[in-house]
Amino acid sequence: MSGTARLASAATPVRRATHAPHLAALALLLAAVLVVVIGSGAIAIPPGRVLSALAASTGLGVTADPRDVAVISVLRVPRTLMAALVGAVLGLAGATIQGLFRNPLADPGLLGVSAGGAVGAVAIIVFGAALVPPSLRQHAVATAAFLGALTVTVLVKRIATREGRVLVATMLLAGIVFNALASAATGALIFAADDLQLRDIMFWTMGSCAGADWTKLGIVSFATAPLLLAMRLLVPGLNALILGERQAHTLGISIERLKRLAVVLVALAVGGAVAATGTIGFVGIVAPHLCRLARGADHRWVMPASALTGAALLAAADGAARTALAPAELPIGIVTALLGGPFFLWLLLRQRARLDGP
Amino acid sequence: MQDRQAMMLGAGASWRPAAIADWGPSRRAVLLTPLLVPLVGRASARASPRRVVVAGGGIAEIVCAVGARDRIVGADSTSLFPRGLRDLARIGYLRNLSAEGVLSLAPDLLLLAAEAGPPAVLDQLRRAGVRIAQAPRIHDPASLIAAVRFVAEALALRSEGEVVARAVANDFDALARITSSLPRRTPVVFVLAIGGGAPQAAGRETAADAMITLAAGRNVVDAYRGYRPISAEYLLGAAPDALVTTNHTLDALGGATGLASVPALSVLPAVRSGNIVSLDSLYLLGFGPRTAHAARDLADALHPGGRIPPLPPRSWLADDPL
Repeated sequence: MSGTARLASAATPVRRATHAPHLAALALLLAAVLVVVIGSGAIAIPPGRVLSALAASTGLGVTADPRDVAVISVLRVPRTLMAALVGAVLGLAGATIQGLFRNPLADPGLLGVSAGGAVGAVAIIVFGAALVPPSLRQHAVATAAFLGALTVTVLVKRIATREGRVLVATMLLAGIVFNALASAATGALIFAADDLQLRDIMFWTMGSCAGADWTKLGIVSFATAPLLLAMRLLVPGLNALILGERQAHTLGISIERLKRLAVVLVALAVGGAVAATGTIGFVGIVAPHLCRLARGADHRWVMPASALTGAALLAAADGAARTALAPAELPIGIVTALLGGPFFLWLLLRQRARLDGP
Repeated sequence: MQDRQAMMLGAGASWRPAAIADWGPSRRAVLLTPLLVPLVGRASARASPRRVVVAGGGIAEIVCAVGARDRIVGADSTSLFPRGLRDLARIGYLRNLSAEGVLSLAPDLLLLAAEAGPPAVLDQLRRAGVRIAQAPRIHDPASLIAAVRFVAEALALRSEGEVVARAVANDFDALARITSSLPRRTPVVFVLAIGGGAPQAAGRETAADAMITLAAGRNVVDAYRGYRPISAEYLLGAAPDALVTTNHTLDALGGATGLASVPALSVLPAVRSGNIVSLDSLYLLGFGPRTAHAARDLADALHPGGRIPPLPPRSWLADDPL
């Protein structure tokens, strides 16, 4: 298959450092998206006043309309940055897991991250008022989602580990089992929920960046930083894995270390993302695919490019979620599915033409 | 309404012979059927039902208000007031009833709110010979008063129902007289269930919207119907004077400080000045006999300064002791 050939050639470091200009272009695209999204919303604020509100909120001694400052620095900027951060994490985690499983359709959901997060969040939505003291309630859902995501992923990884080796096929199957169990647990909790809680649960599972503030942004940065910073460490191993586990081993790559590191970092980062914004689909698959389509499967390109593309995609999707139906707000999961679904279909049709031949 | 009831009973009677055959496995249903036939034979000669199952918080309150509380043998999960109803046999959630669960209580009347269902289950119950009375939708004072009469009629307590219906109608009239003299309608937003994302605000055609109107408020969210996540910037621009919510929502957030930490709400002047009104969700949104009093309490909170005198006390306002 031509795809395999392309993957294999990409693994050999032929074109060194040629990705930089394209990555810079993607970074510019992300910056442009951020500017547009922060400049638009249900309240129209002209660009000049957006700038002075930004300056005022950073304490540069500029005076600005207090309402503008509230809109920009409390409402738009934190949630846009949160969307970009979560998008970057989902894109990068998608690329990592796809490389690890050597399957372009894999995503962190396979490890049970999203399903585990959902169990935690839904449990608190239903029983939080009974279990959590009032002063801790505002962050209880996010904390429980994070713990749920980590717990399920750790269980999946432990089951897939035998004599110090992580068996990828077993991990996939264990992931399926735990996804099913977690959905059953969520279902049982939904059964126990009342009408108001059901609304909460429904909207949580469709994702939203509306709850973002600077504190949450800081906390999520902590959970996601390890994956973003360790990206470089994962790249050589993932490139070698394209050739197969055995070949990678002969290249002197410690596959087991790579697998353990990747799973832990992804679980931590995606757990943090899910905790902050609920479950958001498609970004983790669409962003890496777009990047591979554009410039091949070399992870030196795919990893950073997926992060930048994911960030731009989710920031744009959040902007659309905020403004498309104002004054109502769309759950962001609907926007990403509306963008991702047709894209997937197009990918499928394209692939089909290639597989079936002329 | 009379027509609707007669039609329902008529259909039930004509189905009966087939129903027994269909419902072969359920002995209880077969045994019960002969008992029910005299009840449905002629509507005017109906004996008063003794074993009533209710579904719908407002309907349950009406049953208690007309004095038939001791006849309730089972209730759905939304029937929470008076408190003692929670100790009865539970038949699940009113939109998702199960035929066998209801039949196991051997009711001679199933009193339902308009939302109760699913229709297939109600059909099964009808065929099993259970007499069903489903009240029309309650969405304003007139339909509420009609529902009081409907429930009383189904319980064969027409005169008791008339007393409650008149009292409720008088309460609404009194409230309307008070609120019509107010100089302005306070702009408010009603928010519900804030699960980490955007707060959900009540739009048009919601119970919250109806209550705000009754309480001489003006719902600032009139651009959509139902409850939806709302744009934070729209809310800020709409500048509501007060934020109305339920105790349930406030509790889930950990109180007023938790609510004020939701970004979309933290920027609202109403929240900053602590103008948050919170009431019990069934009292505020349940549309039962207590609704006029709930609307009065809301009006009092929205128009401070003692301009809204209390309505007369009613026996159905009292909850069971803890």
